[in-house]
Amino acid sequence: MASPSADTAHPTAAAVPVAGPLLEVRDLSMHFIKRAGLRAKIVSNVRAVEGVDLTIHEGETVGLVGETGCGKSTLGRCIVRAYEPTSGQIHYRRRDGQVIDAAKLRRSQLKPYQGEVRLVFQDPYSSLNPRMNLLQIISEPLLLHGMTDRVEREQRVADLLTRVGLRPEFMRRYPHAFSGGQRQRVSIARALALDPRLVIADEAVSALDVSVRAQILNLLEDLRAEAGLTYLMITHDLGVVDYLCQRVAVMYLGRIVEFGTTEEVYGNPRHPYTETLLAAIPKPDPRQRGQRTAVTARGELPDPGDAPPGCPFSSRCPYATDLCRNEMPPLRETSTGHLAACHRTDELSLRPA
Amino acid sequence: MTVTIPDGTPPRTEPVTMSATDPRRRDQASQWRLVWWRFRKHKLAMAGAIVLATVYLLAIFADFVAPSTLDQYDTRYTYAAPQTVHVYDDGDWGFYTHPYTMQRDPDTFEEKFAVDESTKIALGFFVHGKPYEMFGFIASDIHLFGPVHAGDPFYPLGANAQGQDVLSRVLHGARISMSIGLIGVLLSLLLGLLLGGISGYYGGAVDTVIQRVIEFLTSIPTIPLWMGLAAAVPPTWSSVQTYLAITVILSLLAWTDLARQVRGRFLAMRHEDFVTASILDGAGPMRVMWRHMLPSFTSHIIASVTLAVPAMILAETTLSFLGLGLQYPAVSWGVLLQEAQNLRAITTAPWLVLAPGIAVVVAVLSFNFVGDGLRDAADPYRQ
Amino acid sequence: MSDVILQVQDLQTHYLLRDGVTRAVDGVSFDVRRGRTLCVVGESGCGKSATAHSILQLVDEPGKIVGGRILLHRTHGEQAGQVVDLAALPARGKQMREIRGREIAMVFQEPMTSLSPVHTVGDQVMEAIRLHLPLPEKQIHERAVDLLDRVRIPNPRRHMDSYTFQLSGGMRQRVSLAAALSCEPALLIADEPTTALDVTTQAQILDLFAELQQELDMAVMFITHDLGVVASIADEVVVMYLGQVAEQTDVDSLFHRPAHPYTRALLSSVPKPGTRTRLAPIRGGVPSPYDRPSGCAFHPRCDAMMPGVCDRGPVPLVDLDAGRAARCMLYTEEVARDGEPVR
Repeated sequence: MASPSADTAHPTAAAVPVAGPLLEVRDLSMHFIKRAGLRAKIVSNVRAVEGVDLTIHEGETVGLVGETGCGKSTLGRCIVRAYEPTSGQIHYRRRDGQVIDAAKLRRSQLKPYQGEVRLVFQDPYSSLNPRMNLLQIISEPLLLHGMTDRVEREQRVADLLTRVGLRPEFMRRYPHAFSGGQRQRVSIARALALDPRLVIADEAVSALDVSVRAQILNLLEDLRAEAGLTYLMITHDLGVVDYLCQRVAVMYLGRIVEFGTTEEVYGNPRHPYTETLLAAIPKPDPRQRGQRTAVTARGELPDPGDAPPGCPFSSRCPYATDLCRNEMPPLRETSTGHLAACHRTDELSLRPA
Repeated sequence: MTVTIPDGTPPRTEPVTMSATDPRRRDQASQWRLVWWRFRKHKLAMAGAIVLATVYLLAIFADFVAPSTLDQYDTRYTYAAPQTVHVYDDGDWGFYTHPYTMQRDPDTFEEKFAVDESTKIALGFFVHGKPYEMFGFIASDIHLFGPVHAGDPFYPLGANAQGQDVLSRVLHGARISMSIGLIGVLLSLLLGLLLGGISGYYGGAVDTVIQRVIEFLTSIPTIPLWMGLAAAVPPTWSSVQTYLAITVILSLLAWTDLARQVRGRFLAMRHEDFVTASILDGAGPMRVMWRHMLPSFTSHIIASVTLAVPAMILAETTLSFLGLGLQYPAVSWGVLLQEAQNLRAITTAPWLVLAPGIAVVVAVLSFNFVGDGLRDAADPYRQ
Repeated sequence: MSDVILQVQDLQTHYLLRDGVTRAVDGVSFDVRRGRTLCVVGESGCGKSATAHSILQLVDEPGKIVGGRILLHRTHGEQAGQVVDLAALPARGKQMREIRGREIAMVFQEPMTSLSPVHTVGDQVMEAIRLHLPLPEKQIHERAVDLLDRVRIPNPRRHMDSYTFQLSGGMRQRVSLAAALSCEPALLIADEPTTALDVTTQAQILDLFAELQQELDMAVMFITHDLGVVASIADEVVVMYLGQVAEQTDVDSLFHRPAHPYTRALLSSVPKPGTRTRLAPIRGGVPSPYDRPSGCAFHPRCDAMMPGVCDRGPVPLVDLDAGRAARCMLYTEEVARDGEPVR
């Protein structure tokens, strides 16, 4: 399985639709610059996202994995334009086929875009205003996007609640009446209110109990099938990605280090960091216990403020050479549709999941 | 990939778990209802609220409730001691009290009052007394309680140097003392919300400037500043004008705390997920502020406002006591205390100090209890 | 001497709240043995943390241990070899203080809550030693360095002077582990120690647990909600649901022949690596502890629910083979006789 020839096309690569991508992120960077004092002197500059390229096709589910602080949530929030990216482009193909650059939209022009690209938050408790009932929460985007008729809004909210598996009679209840899983359903209903095309789920199931998490994963999958949604699943849970996503991007210190179909990335990882991540997943079977011995990477994620000059992973990578430590490897195609940012990707034979 | 959907897909609807007490009502209860339910459970706060309601009612209808009017005096009863009100009259129910006879101590020439137990002054409800004009337009001479024959001496809490009824003066004084707190706090609330909101929402240089102003204001010693500002009020102004000026002075200094709280809340709220969610829903800054951010701390603001009122009451009392605030003939608790500011009053007529003093303490305590209760109940979503 | 370090017998910890009594721990029994890892697994609100806190008498008001026994077989100090009932000891008493940290140590989910931000790493580990061992200062220092080295902190001498906020989450967890191990406890209770960590760090910490346990021959009680973690480190497993033990088993049987329908449902809620078969989640959510269902607490969500059997009366914990037990009507004699035999 190691170092396959570059033209080995994985059978699942055909599953990627031929139409132009729904979303194409190009060279996107997000730097958090903290200024202080009256003269606004720069006191810190955190490069949370640095030169990220990412394409998402209509109808697919793309996973974005990485550890805490790798910039995956920031990237998600840049895409929904909760943040204004420092540089780069977000090409989005609208329903009418026109491609716009969402990174350049001004605040006043964002509304139509933000109606089509929606975010589901991680924490089902802090993402719902406790002072509004479900009807008010879910109908807010409707109202703000011009559905002024109250009866119509109420009807729509009832439909949405049914779709996410809640009883429409609950619409006058407040979030405090609901459990974590039910609140996450409300969050999803709010995201669906405007018939979005792309839903970015930022750790949407991470805070939930095992049994409830499975319900929400199934719900997301059902909604995708019903409404032809496209998902970007931001998560640290590699099991969730394996279950839901056709393609997966692995992020490390603000950069994407590997991108390909889930089968390819899990079955034939081409970046040492991916190998480390996959090796770290606890196997859900005690009989495989001996197999999770090789934790390849040393140490932990360095502070994004002082990343090594070369490959960001070189400080922990067991295969790092002087070249790795001094020169940044570009993200390049190692086989069709499988990209990795590693100088040694062709010579290494990395262990699959 | 294949997603197999088995036939026996469990229904997606979850049963909602409900809490033990009145689940349906609880689930549909708005923030204010939850706050009220929690406040209700706070015994001391409820007692405080009832006392405050009573005090405000008495203050509003002081003309009617007080046995005598403010311009009523009788020099024969200078420093008269409090009379006992008897309820039981020789086998019959009825209110009465005894009049005084004045004697002069032959050695010291000091006036002394002795209760003349041989005669009775009949007391009753809804008696005719000195005429007054309530709120300036309701003319009447009916008093809630007093001597049946107008002109009989009635001093349930004693009399002052002019022979005026202390009870009536305390009741009238409640008007200014209790309202200066409210009006002053409302003014400082307005300033605090505005400046704190601007500071927190816009941040940057505006924030820095406002914060420095707050720091400057809080670093000034209060009493000298009051003295300076109060001295600037022209002596020719009427008592009402002085009163308004004092209120403004107090609130100009009291807004800083609230502004800081509001700013802190705004800063913290800006990054709440539900605020981000509403921005992504398409809400503009005004809607985000008014619909999402402010409601999540209005209850806290109400609590801290309630706790600020007693400070205002005390400030007025202090100012007037020092002779910097209101002056005779205006009547407030501070003015009453200032009148009692001499040795003689404390030795021979302690009621002059005690009556307004206790009134201040009761009002301030009640506000504090209510404020505490509100603060505890303010965030019903905290668990 | 037997291998049993701790025996929890019919433990009951209740919370007396305004809205009623919550039975956080409702008759829980299990043994923890030397050199073995017992995993207590369950969803939020199942009482796994309350059980751990009860053992160390760390239950906060309005919680209270109202019944049962917690028998500790003492191994340290003058009373070595004796058995004490921790549930009967006063929480703030001398004996309990002696046991905490010395014989039973605990690590928490968020190490920052148990570590002080104003003291150096060295100070905190040394303080943990000083509390229980009367050693000269120089030896305490050496022992602390040794402990940091044991939990694989690189450059331990240099890190003695670090502050906890200068360390990453994984390193902090190592420091709190070092402090916990300072007196070589007989039992280590770990309350979700890897939940707040990233996978790669979690893997490192889990490996560390396994190594240390072999080195020190401790008993470990490991609380987690993650079945992957259970599969990696457990010897025995207690599955809890709404304050009760649902199933008690060895780790291999848990994954390969689960007995309780709840255990089975939990296992099928987790995606299997490399497969995309649709998950079969458990219906509904965990009921509020205020209105726990009558009969078997799991019956409203259970696919094997037998009307008239599961929804009334208390369900006994039925002994199965090889020390396994399940609290389920399917295994009671009456049902096994009348209905089809299960397993």
